[in-house]
Amino acid sequence: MIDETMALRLRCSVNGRERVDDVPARMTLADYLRDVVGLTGTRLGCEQGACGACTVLLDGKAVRACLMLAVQAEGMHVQTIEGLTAGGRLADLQDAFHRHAALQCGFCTAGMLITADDALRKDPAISREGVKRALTGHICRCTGYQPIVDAIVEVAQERRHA
Amino acid sequence: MKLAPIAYLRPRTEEELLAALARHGSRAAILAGGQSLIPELALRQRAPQVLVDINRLEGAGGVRCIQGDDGPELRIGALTRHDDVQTDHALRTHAPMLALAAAHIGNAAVRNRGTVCGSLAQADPAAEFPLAAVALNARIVLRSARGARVVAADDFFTGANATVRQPDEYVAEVRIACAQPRDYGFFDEVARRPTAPAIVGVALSVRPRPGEAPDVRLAIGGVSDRPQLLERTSLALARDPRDAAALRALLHAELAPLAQHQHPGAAYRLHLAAVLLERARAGWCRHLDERLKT
Repeated sequence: MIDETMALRLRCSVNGRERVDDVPARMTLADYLRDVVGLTGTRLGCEQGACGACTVLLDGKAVRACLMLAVQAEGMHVQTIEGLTAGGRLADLQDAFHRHAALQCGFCTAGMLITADDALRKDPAISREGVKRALTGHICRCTGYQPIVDAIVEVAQERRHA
Repeated sequence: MKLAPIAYLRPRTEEELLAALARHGSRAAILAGGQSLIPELALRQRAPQVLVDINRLEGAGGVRCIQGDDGPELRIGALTRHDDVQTDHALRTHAPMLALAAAHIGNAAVRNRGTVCGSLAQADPAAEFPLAAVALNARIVLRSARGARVVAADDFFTGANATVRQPDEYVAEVRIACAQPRDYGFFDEVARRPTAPAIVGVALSVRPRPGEAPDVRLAIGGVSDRPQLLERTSLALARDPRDAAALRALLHAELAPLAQHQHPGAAYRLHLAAVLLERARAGWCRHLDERLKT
C-alpha cells in the first residue's frame, strides 16, 4: 500500500536558523512557514500561484511558497519578510512604501517588497516599465498600484546614486 | 485549497526514478517545477497518489552543446528552468528564440521554478515552450525502464494537456539544433496581461540553406488544442516573404479548419494570428535587408 499520510523529516534553514521538523508531504512551504515555524508575515492569498502574497527567497531566489512543498526545501535556505526586515535589507523599500502610501491593508506588501528587491538587484537600471513588468505576478486590491510603482522607482534611483 | 494527502518520493538517480515510475505508473505525478502541477493538486483537479519529485535528480539540470548527426545541437536537461533560458550563456547563444518565448512566461518567481521539459510534458495549449519546440523542430527524449525514445515535437503533442508520454516515462531532455548566425527566430503572443495565458502565439524559425529556399517553420498556438506547424504558409514564406497579402490569405485558408468550433472567438483568434504573422514576416524581411547591407 502507498502511505499518503506519513510525516517526512525536513531539515532546512529559515532566516539563518537551522530547523528540523516532521511534516506531511502535502504541506506547502507557505503553510510550513506560517503554521509550523510561526512566521505569519508570509501571506496566503490565492494558494494557486496567482496573487504573489506568499513570495519568499529560496537559496536567494524569489519563489511562490504556495507552489512548493515544504519537503522540497530540504537542505535549502529560506528567507521570509521577517528575516529580510531584521537584516535591514528592505529598509529603504519599506520607508518608500510608507512615504508613498503604497499599502493600505498590507496583505500583499511582504510579497511585493521581496519581488521589488529581487528586481532591483537583478537590474539596477530598471525603468518604470520594468518595475511594472516585475510586479505582474502580484495583486493588490487596495492601492491601484501607482504608489507601489512610484515607491520602487524612487528606491531604484536612490540605490543607483548611493 | 490544500493538497490532498499524498505519498512522496525523491529519487536521486535516474535508475531510482525509472523504477518508481515503472512501479506506480499512472498513480504517480512527476514534480519538476510544480508551477502547474501544484495548483492542479491544490484545486483537486488531479488526484495522483504518489508525487515523484525529480528536483534532486543527479545530472538533470545541465545544458550541453554537442555534435549531433545533423550538426551541433543543444541538449536541455529535465531541470533546466525558464530563468536559465533567459540567463544561461549557451542557451542565449544557441537558442535565442527560447529566450524570446521565456520572456512571455509568468513572472520571476514562476520562471525561477518552472522547467522547459515540464512545460512540454504539461502541454498547455497556450504555453510558450511547446509552441517554440514545434517551430524549432525540437526532439523530445522520453526515458523509461523499458528504454529511451526520441519524439519530434510535431508528434509529441496529441491534444490539450495530452502528449505521447506513457505513465512510466519522463521527459529527460529536449534537443534543438544550435542556431546559426544567419538564422532568424521570432516569438510573440497576445495575452490580456503579461502573466495571463496567451490567446494566440506565433513562433517562426528560419534557417537558410545553401543553394535552395530556407527551411521555414511557422507554428501557431492558441487556435486549436495543441501547437500546430503551418506547413503551407511556411512553404509560401520560404518562397517569398515579401508578399504580405498573399501570405495573409494563405494563413486564413490554412487556419480556418483548425480553429473551427474549438474555441469561442475563433474569428478573433484568426485575426490575432494574422497580426502576429505580419509581425513575424516583417521581422524576417528586416533581418534579410540588414544581411544584404553587410
